[in-house]
Amino acid sequence: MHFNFSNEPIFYNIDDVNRVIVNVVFPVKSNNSESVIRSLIIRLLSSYNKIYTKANEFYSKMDSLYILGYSVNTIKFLEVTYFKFSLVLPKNGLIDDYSVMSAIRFFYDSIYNPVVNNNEFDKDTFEYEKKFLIDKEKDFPKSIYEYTSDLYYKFIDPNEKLVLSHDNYMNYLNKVTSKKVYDYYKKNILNNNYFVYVYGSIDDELKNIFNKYFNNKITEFSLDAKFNDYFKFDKFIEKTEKTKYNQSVLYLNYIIDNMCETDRTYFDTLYYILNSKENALIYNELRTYNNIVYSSKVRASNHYALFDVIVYYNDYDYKKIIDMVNNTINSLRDKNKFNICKDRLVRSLGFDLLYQEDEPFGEIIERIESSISDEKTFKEKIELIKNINHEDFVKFLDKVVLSKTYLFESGDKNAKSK
Amino acid sequence: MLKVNRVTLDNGLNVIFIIDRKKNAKSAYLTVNVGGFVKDFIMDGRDYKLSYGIAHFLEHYLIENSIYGNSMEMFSNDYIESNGFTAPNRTVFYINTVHDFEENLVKLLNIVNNPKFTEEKIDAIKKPILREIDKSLDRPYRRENKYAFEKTYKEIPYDVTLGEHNDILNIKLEDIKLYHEAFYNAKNELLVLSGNLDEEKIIKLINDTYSTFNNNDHEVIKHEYKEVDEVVEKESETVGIEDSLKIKYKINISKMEPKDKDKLSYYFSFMISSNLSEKTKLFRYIIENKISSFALSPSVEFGLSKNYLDFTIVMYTDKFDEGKKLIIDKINNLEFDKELFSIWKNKQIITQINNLENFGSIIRDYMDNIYLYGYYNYDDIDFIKELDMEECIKMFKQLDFSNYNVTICKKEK
Repeated sequence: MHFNFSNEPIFYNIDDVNRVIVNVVFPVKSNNSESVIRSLIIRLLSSYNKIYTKANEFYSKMDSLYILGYSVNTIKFLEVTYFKFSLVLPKNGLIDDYSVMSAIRFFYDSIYNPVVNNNEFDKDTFEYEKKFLIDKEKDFPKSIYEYTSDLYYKFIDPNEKLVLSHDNYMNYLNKVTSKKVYDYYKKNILNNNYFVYVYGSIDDELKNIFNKYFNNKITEFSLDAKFNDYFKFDKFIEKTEKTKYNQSVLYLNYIIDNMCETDRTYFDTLYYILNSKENALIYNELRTYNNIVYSSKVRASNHYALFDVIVYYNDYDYKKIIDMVNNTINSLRDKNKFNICKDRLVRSLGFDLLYQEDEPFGEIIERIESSISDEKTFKEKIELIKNINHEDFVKFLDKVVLSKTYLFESGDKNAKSK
Repeated sequence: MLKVNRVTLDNGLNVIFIIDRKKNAKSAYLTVNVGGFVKDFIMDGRDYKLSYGIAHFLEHYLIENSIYGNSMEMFSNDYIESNGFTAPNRTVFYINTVHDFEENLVKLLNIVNNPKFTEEKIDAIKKPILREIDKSLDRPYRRENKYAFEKTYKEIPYDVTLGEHNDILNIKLEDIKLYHEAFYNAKNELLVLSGNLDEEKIIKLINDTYSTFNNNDHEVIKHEYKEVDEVVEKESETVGIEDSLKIKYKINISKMEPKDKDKLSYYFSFMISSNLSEKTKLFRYIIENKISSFALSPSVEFGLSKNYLDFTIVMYTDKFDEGKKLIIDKINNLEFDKELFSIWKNKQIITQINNLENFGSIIRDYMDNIYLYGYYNYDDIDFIKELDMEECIKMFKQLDFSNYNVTICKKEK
């Protein structure tokens, strides 16, 4: 897929708010094996810069500059990863000794002037952050969700297209070097292009200072990267394992076999109908009507053409649960039922638009999100879903296949888990 | 701009209006002044002892077996967000909607105050609660947290809101009827309403609706845990998921005024920021001397009892003695810097100005102030401006930090 960007800042002024939010976003082409490097970059650019080289100094400086929030995170869609730097500042003039210039300068230094020696991240800082991540991971698994999810992903995704397994994350982490992380930073942040959103209470002083640091030259740029990597159905496999947990957890993995780009709207619609509050077909089937679970959830990944149903339960025949979930999905073959669900979904999205109007940043956040993914806005979704024809939806349902099930059965005191 | 009004109706119900003329969404939070800690009480001179989990069970019962059937399903069918939750000291039922607010407010009041008590749904309602208990038991660190808590508190129980399986299995219809009769009445409830509302019209609607309910007007005394000032054990040791050190300070605040408790919660946030956080030299020392890879995790809990504040500091380390000495020395020698206080206070003011854009944060603020500190107000800008470093130092000098439990948790082999 070909992505076009421009680094010309988008300023979005909002009256009646007392803060301003800056997002500087670097689009990067990368893969899962680099997730360790990305984690380290986030750590290294979140707590230090070349002026404030110790975390305590860095955080204290943020306070004295009245920075309300500074964060680095990544958003990943297959080969496309966005490094997003966010800064939250008070409205200019709200506080006497606040300097917007100093705050933006600090932000700039935190992105572009990290603690570097001899063309690599400072060794001590790097080693501390590496140990931090190792220590954080080493006692894994901690929660039932983390434990079962890691095993489940290994089962459905042995090539680790979706996520890196805990074991491999640790392998990469143990081997990674400061030089390697710096090289990645240099290529993908320091020498990379970015795009920018500034929204909230914006005045000319902020614009001018911002442009001084972040808009030296307007550039159009692009990125070619794989955005979809659809799973294919091979054969149905089931797996069972005993755990020490008090709850049993059942994962059902559904694949859209031979998914194509035009199936996206059907995929999203199916996911909403199964999961969203206005229909919540899976939850209603398992909790409201059959009283089997306390909770359940549906996770969907349209870039991979798969979704998972996760059921936490106890004392019930799991095969019956599988039947219930299958029957619930297939119940949408009934035209009347599908149309009722579809109308409810459209109406609910209309109400969501009203909730979004109440949020001062609702619309701009939606705009940013849709610019970095292929997510549609509420208004676009409503139009697309309204126009779905049931016969076409049924053809899509024909492609939905239960590919794998993984049952983690509770109550074995000698099991390794937990 | 937001406008906040509090009124007490003739029937004793406290109603707080948070008016924002610009918003589409409207919400109602109905809080009953009883929660998971209360299972025993005296009503009209007679003792009653019920099971833990009764408050939470009643919350489920009222939602799932209302005069409208399963009320969550009903609201959801009408695109209205609704739910309930039970905390140790309160039970809350709420709706959020962008349409037909008044009609649905009446339904919410009926769901909570006008139940139909029938046997048929009792067993069905128990099932998901048993699953919820299983879920809670699977929480990481629960075992270690429970252990340290029980070495600190003699009477206050640990995490009893859900109850245990047997508690739930033993609950009977007459128990929840009794509990409802004791605690569910206008005088023992608080209604917080927000959005673009017509106050006069809504007050009339509320009065009319409550006038149709049974007037449960009994003299009820809740059982209070008679906690003692001393911790159960000064030093204790257990095994758990990872090596850690937990120090729990049990601080008597019974003589403090409600508003001062609210102020103290802010002063704790400043104290933690300037003495224990990643901004401090202590953090740098811990990292540089490889005592831990992580920052300390301090937390302050006012909700356990009106008399005690729980202040817990966790350090993930296997250097137990060194870690313990560092933390205790620091608490005994707290530092308060005037410049840092001024910056911190200005940031609090900015944060609060931003929070006040959104009525959700005022609802939370108001309810926390009432149920954690007994303070009937929200923290407006004037309140934040009153915060003062000399007062902060004075308050900390009055707190007794000599009463604490140290629990060493060694990683299970």
